[in-house]
Amino acid sequence: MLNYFLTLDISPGLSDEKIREAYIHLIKKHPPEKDPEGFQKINNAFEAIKDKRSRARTRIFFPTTVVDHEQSLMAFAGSQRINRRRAGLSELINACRKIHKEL
Amino acid sequence: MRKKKNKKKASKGVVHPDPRLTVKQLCMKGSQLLSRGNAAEALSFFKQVEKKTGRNDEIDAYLFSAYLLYHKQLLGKGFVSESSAIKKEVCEYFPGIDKVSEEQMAAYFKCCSGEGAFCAYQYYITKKGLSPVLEQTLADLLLQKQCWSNLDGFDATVPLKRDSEAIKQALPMMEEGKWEEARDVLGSITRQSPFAPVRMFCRAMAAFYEEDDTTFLRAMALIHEDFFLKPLLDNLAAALTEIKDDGKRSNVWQHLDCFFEGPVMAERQARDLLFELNHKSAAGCAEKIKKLAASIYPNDVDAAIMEIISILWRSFSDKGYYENSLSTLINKLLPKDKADLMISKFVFLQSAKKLSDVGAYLALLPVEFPNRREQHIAHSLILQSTVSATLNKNVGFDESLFDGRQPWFPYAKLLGIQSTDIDMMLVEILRESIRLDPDNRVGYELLSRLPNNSKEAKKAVEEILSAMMERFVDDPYPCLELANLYYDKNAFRKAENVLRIAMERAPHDNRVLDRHALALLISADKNIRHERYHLSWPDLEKAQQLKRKKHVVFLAAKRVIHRNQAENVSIEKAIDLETLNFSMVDYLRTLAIILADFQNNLYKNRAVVLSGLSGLFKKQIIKTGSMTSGEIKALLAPIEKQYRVLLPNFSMVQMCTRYNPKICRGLNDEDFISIIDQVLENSLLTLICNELNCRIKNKKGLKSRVLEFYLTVIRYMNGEIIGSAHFIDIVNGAPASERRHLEDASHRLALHAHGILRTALQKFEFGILDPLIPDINMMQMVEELEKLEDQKGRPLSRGEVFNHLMENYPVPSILENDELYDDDDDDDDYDDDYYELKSMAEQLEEFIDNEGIRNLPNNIIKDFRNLMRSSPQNRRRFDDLAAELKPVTDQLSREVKIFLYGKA
Repeated sequence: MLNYFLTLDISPGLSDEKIREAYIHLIKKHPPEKDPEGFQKINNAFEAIKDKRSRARTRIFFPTTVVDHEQSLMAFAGSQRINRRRAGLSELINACRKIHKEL
Repeated sequence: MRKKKNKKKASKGVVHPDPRLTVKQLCMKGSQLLSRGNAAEALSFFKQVEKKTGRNDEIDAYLFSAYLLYHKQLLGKGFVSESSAIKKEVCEYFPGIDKVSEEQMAAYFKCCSGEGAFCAYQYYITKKGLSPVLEQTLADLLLQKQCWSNLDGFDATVPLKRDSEAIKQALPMMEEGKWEEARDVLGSITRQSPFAPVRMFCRAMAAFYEEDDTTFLRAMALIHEDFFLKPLLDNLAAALTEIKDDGKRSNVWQHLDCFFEGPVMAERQARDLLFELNHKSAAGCAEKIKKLAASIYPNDVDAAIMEIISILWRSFSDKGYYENSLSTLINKLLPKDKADLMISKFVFLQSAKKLSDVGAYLALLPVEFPNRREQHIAHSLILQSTVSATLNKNVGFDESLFDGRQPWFPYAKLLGIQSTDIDMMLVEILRESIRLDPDNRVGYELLSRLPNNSKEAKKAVEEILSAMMERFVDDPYPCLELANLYYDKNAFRKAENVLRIAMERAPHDNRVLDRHALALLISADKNIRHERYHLSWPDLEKAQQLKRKKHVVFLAAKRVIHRNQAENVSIEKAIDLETLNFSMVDYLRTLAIILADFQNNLYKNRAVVLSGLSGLFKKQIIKTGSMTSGEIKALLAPIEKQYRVLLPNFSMVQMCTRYNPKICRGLNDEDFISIIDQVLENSLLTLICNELNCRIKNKKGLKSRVLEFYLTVIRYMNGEIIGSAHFIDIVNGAPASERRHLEDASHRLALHAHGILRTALQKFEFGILDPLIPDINMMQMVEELEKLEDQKGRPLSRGEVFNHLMENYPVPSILENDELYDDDDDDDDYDDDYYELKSMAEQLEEFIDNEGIRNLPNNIIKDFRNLMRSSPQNRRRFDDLAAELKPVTDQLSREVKIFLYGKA
């Protein structure tokens, strides 16, 4: 369940409208012709949480839908979007010093 | 062993210079060691020289080189503090610019203080001129230490000084992470500039944040290896390449926190968790789950833990350590309310049909769905899934469910169960589901699949469908279902009214058109029977225009009858006219329907037509020998429920087998079983039995076992066998892989069975088919006694048999209390003494316990009661006892109530 929210890069508790907005924003970024796998993932996530009834169904029956637990766990681990973070020069110099120390 | 090791160590240890060697020899040996890269040993030789001769330019040069190399080696091995300590020596023995190479000079710059390096370079320029290599080193130092004042003494033409202005301008942007802007500012820096790596670094970083990894990697490749940020960039490049290659993350990621937001190491943690899980260490899983959850979703770690457990639930279950380990793990990881919820949810998911499990989960639902509206929706879905699971598995409820001691009773309100009527149970659960979420269409649709045999159930379904009709004003579905219901009740006017509404709502919907065509057929049928042919033909024409393939056979049949009755066309000619392009299957089905219609109704010239039709059908049905199994299956398929209005009690199988008893031979086993599943009824039992016997011969394995199972069930229905032995033999004889097929067959057959057999088939447990009293095989005794003859040689009547049986049967002692049943004995004490009645009730309870009747299904207890009451004498005793115990009925158990009164 949480997995689907993270896939859409939103937090649980948002309204149907907000979920839809996040979905549209993401499918524009991952169109099916360029990223079919990503598109499918986003689509599945949206279908699972698009409205109150879907969310309730997903939350209740999610454990029964897991076919391959290893794959699902890895998907959950990778569901949180890892964004590139702006780092300044001093921070990079410190990180580099850490590497020097560990080397 | 230890001595040997020590020797080995000694031989590998540092070679100390021989004190007898001359200075020249020491210098030569030290130089050799230095050239071989052995800085530590070379140092010991040069130190020896220093000791002997004191310091001079030559020994300073040697020591400088040795210390420089040693510093580099220590740094390479990760001895950062040790290498830093060497820096002092490097600076101390600096032999002067003339005596060192450019490379050594660069290394020296890295060892000495910022100011010292810049002064040294200034001197270097005066001696040897500009050095791009040294300037690059100094550029790195400038960037790291921000010591721009050290450039004050440099000439403006020195590239280091010249390009420093652009760097200083870009520096605030670099500090703020505005790499794109910094890149633009550094555009004027040339490739030959000492700051060229900085410009390239900015370009790489800008590309990284623009998510242009190709440009990033290309820019990175242009930065020289000595650039002070190169190791970090190498890691970043490795990480980006990993994502592209296989999506897995290695150790390089642990130094890249500064570049990314999010659970960078989550995938690695997940792999560790799976490893732990595969090695069955549940205790180890707890910590790993917690870490992974915190890493993936730190905002709500409990939610992430619940998600991980939900993912792993099946695997725990599959590995066979579900019961203990998973519960322990959940309790360890989650607060009590959430842990209880998870455990009850998994129990519910494991067995969705158990009412007590459903109730227990529903009771904890507010923990999972704090929002009231969402809670209602979830509650509704759970009830709906319970009904659906029960229907799908055909595992019905039996009346023992209403025993007050059943664990689901406390949850009756949550389940929506109000009555104690088994037929109403599913309807009530579904009604509650719809009440909680009236917009849930699936709930209404499920309603049409419920067996609504009782009047109350029909009424409830009608109410719900009417409510749906009002709620979904554009949907024809409730109208169609209501129409079916009304046709079922022969309420034609009501059916036509709701169908009209359906037509208004969705005039082009296929379901509506089908239903409309059927309504026209029903109307035409009524008009033909009432000889209102001027009305019947327009209906048939309209039905024809709707072109519904589904009704083609019935439409043809009705048109044939109309032509024959209204237009006096001979039946053969009418059939030829209306079945012109029909397939053999449709043609035969049309004939069968016309034949059945004439048999059921008093049409004109009935006898003549019937005679001709019978001959024609008999002649044509023989041709099925050339048909495929699939075609015969299609021919024998029963007519759909909705056509029952037109032909009540019509059975296609009966009609066909009457005219061609061997028609089933053309079916393969699968199709034959499929036909049995559809049409199993009493009148066909013998025919099916014979066919099954034929097929079982010369067959082995699964097919034979399933056929044998069918045969056993049908023989039981036919009264040919009793008890569970035959069933148990087949089930136990089947390997585990085949048992599922038998169980499926059992569930299918349960639809056609009644009483104990139905319960046994539903539960796939056949022990309950055995006679109740373990010591006496009652039915066997009955069978044997029925073979006996009385003194006159006549067989014993059933009453005599049971009287005979009762002599050997353990009648409850309470029934043997003659005083109680003596009509003349008017003992007031018995009537009035409440405690005496209570004692009698207790005796009966004891009797029920002793005979092993407790907890048996109602119908079995009823069978037992009927057996006991079969003798007139006992019946009177029963009835009297039942009347006596009326004042204490509220204290009697279900079993005693059924035993005495026939119902709980």
